[in-house]
Amino acid sequence: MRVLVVEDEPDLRRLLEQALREEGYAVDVAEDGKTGLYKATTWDYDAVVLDLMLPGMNGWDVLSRLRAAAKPVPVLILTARDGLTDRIRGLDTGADDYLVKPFALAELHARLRALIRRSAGQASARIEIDGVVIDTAARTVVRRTAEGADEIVHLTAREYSLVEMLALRRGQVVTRTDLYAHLFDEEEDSFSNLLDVHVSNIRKKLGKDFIQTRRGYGYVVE
Amino acid sequence: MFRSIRWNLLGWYSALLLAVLAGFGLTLYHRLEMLSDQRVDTELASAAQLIAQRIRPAHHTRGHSAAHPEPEPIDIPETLLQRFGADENEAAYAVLWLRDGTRSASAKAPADVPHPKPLARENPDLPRFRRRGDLREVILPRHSGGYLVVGRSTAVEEEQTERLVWILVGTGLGVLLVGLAGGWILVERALRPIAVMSSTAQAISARNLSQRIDVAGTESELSPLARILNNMLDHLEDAFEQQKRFTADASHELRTPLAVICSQAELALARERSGDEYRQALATCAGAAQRMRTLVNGLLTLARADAGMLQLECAPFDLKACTEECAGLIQPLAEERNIAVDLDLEPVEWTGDVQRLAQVITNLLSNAIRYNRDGGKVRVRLRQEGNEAVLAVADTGIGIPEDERGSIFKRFYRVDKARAREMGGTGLGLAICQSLVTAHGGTLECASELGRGSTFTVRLAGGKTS
Repeated sequence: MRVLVVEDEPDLRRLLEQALREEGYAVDVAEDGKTGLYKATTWDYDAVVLDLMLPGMNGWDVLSRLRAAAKPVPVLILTARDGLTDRIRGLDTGADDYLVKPFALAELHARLRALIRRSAGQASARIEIDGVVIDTAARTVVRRTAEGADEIVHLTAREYSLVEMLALRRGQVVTRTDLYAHLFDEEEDSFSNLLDVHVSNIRKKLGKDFIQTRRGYGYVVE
Repeated sequence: MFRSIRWNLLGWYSALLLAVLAGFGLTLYHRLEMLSDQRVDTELASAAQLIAQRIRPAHHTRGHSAAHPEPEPIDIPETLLQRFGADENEAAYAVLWLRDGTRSASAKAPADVPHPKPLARENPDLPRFRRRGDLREVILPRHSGGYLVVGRSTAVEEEQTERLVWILVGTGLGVLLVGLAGGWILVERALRPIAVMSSTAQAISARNLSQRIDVAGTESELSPLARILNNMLDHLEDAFEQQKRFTADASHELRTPLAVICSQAELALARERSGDEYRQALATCAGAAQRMRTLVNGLLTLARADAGMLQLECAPFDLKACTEECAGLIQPLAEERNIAVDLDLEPVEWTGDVQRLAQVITNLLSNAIRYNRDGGKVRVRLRQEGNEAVLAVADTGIGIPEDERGSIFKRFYRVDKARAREMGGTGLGLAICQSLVTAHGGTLECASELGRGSTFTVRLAGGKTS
């Protein structure tokens, strides 16, 4: 999952970037409204973390322009302003959630997960596919063996992200381009092979038929 | 109750009305009584004249001796009797005294009619009158000496007058009551706009300061008052808004470093990390804590200055020495940014709080350095001008746009937010400087030219060249 963090306070921006990366997200950052808006409209993010008090173009403008550009990306507003009118305004302008500083990182993670889950049309944090249970909250994958026992499947962060993404878009074919776009942030170089390596590793752990290839299109989980 | 305008107004009005009515009533009564008396007197006088004509000296009748004339009982003509009425109470009577004291009276004359008091010079044709209780008498001195007294009871007139008095009193009271009622209504009407204004003003509280008194609905004498009140409310609303904004800004500014500390700590503890990572995390927290501390100190200073509770320790000191010390403190910062600081100072002795002044000077100097161009200059000038100590700090920075020049002293105002944060600015520096300078009774002004630079001038009253 790829997220954009728009925050002008350097320490906080750095922190959020690190925290989200450690949670397995691909993270892009922007330090002012204009850059934030540009990135959000140019690429498809799974979520945007947006601070309201930004120099130049403020958070309100970024948000309303983003919505005006018909970008449905979930937006979580992060701000030190906690007035009731601000909260209402934020949600009405198009934000999906609102967190007041100072906040607990754990809460930020949980809310982001909820946002991403909802935008993928998933009601619950647990996705079950063919005997494999993916808990998007705990970021674990559990597989029911032939004997009926539950065994935890150990996936790398990147592998898990890939599985989660395909599972959330269950039934849809996800193109390689999309997968790249959502699994790697602009800081990383992407090599075609890397994706194939991850897929083959996942197949080893979860079964050959877990991820199906649609030649010329991409991958799908049924 | 006696301080109430309504009761005061009504009281005075009633008293006035009462006085007028009473005066009118009394005057009327008095005049009518006078007229009545006059009428009675005229009647009595003409009756006396008539009777006097009919009295013949004794020697004209029945042949009595001239020496001892027999007085005849005085005979009052029937017509006069009728005029006065046949009633015992209204009977007229006449009493005649001859010069020698013999007395002759009419049939109904009371026995106790006293002899008139003789005057020094009696004029026989001039009647005079006297009143004895209910009786009114006319005294007619006679040519031949002696007196004729004709009198009658004025009981009827008295009764009439009494009736008039009661009518007057009754009507007067009625008029008074109507007047009072009318007065009350008028006072109510006059005072109503004030009551409306009061209730509007009462309804205005800190929560809905936007309400105003309706000037159009007030009487012309009250509209200046309404306008003044509305102005006052405007100012109050502004002050409240400013206060709210300040509180919101302050809270916001404090929350950001707080968020950094919280999130950094949480992140550092999320998993096992290297010593360097922990060090980095702690350094970040320390930096944010330091920013918070500076902010809190600044806010406290401003709050104290606002409440007039800044405790200034005033003592005489040399502004030159103080400025030099501050310049020394910021020298490393200047060197770091390749800025030359030029001091042009004359010794000026001034009395004030040296710590606070140093805070101001250091702040102005560090602003001048931070908002300067690379390789630029900062010029500091200190002079005693007249009875003011004048300190000017000029920089060669980018200048401040005209429309922002007034706002730079506002709390949390930053011309270029991103740059200010980079320099560690809180947005309170100039606001604090201005507060501190004002607390000493001085002024802080800013002059600027876009592209050339800005000059901040501190003027302090007092001081002398040392």
